[in-house]
Amino acid sequence: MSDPLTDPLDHSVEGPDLQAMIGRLLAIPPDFLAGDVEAGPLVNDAVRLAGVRPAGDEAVRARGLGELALPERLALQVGAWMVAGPPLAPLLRTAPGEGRSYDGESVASALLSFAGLADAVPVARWTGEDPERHEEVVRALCRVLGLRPRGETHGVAEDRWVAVGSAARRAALRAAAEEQRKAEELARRLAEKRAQEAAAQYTHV
Amino acid sequence: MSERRTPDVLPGYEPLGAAVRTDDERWPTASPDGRRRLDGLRCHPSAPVWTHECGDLLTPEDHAALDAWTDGLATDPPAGDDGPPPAVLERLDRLLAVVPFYRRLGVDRWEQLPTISRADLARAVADFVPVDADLSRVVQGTSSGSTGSALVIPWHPLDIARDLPLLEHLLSRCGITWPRDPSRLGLLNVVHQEQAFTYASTMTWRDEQLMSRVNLHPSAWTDLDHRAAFLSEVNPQVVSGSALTLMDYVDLGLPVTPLAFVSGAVDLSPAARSYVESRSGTTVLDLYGLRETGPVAAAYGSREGHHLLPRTIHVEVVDDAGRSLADGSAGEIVVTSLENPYLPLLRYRTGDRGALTGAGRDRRIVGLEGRAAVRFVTGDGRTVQSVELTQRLQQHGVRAWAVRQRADGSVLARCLGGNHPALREAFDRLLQQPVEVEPVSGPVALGPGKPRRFASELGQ
Repeated sequence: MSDPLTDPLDHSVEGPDLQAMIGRLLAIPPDFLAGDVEAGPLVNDAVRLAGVRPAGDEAVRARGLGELALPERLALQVGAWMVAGPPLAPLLRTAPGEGRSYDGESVASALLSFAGLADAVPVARWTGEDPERHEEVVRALCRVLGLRPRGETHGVAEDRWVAVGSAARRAALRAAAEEQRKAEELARRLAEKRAQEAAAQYTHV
Repeated sequence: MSERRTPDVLPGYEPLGAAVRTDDERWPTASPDGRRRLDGLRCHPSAPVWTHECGDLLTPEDHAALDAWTDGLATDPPAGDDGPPPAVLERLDRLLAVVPFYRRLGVDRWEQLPTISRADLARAVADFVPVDADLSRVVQGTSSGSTGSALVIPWHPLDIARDLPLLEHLLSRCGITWPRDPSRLGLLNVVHQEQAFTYASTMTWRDEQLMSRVNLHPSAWTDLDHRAAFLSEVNPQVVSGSALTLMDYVDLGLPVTPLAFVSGAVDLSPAARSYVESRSGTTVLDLYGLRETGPVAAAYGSREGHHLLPRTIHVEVVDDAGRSLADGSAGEIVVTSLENPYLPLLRYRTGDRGALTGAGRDRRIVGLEGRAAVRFVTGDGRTVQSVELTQRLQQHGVRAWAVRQRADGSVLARCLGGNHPALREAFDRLLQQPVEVEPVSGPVALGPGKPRRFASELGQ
């Protein structure tokens, strides 16, 4: 299955204005960047605010939104903020055309994909000083929803996605792949009997 | 007389089930003479039934590193009382780049660091392991912790061995010299529970002085008379255990006295300290720390509170939102600990409470609370420590709990999640008391405080 954050899109539907979406991103309330928010209910609330048919609580739970690590939870919360209001919410509610429509399931699923952007772009930079990072975040969200910014052709949007932060993103994704290999090595080594034998211990802390 | 019960073997406690290394691997630096003395301990005629084998795994390079670390204990600048110490800040940039959790988060300053918790480690411990760490020497550390299943963390043999110079240093602060006397067991790690790993080892860094981990529980001995005989003959210099176990140890009334007791794992109440010290005439050093962070602070002497240890750590006290509190204000203890190369932790919420006070070498945690241990009384009048209930709660998947023994001996376990019928059966077997397991809908239903609590109305 292709990943819209790493693979080219075959097709996209024209969506909202890029600058309007960046404006929404930068207006994110601090609450959405707090680490102690429960991601599952927040995503459901955002989907309800977007006015699309909400995902059931069970569906949200099944996706394990609450089990995500903090960087991905924060990413998810940014995505939830973005879809909960204009300019995306009216579009998601009314369907952008070309046969595309959204429901709670598909929006929640798209947000989960969007959270994967934390692997490639550290979350603290999403709303930082760098305008190119803002554009990258907004374009990533468009991609997971199958959209492209208003006024751009599919080809232009694809080219722009590759151009925006492409080198840094590739390096970060290589780092993420290395981390994944390391996590697998750690799990394997910890499961070995040699690791279980452990070492003599002297105190009870 | 009650029928002897067959213990249900807890996962991970199969005798010798995890002993797979050769002795050469366990003690890479042991001499032939050291090995002979170790074999003597292993085959001691009164020895308990050893259930495990493990060594210190220390290489010559580790010995040199321990020597250097020991020198630092005396010369390191005192722990800072105004933000993290230089030893922490100097390593911050590297950690933010190589620890996956922080790379994805993108923070680049101490002030931006969120607190993390046991739940973060449980979710994906690899998120906190530096991606450039050489994992070839990783061993398991397990933590029963305050919620959920036991947490397995990656641990480095050198970090484990640092306890030895640290203990030497702390004992010397108490005016106690810990000589490397080959005629005495250097250290006895003691537990008192139905099932536990026990082993004999040699502390190669302490001139191959012997140590062992021993279980006081009657089931650990082929002949109960061997228990006092063994402990008297090995004549341990330092005895390390939980407060309840140390009380049991002094109750044995052995004819030999250690140089010091080292309490850990649970709260050492003033009454427990007084009991052990008055019965033994020996000082008790109380270590505070978590398996995840290593030792953090120690209480000794007459000064109130637990002094912060001269390790690469930083201790804060925070409010519910994770904001640092001023000295003197009580809140949750948050520890930054960079000693374990496999798990350097930044701003780790311990779930324990206290307040900070003092400056420099006098910096202390006062009013430490959160590690209360309780004894439960069984139907046939024995007592079992709450750690044994923790093992069973975790075995059966309970995520948070409040377990209370009423005055009539019956037990009410209020549990979040888990297999309740299986838990009731396990508690029935362990306690032989009427047991009621009541489901709760969330941690909030357990009330304020740590989501793992034990209480007894029987005054144990």
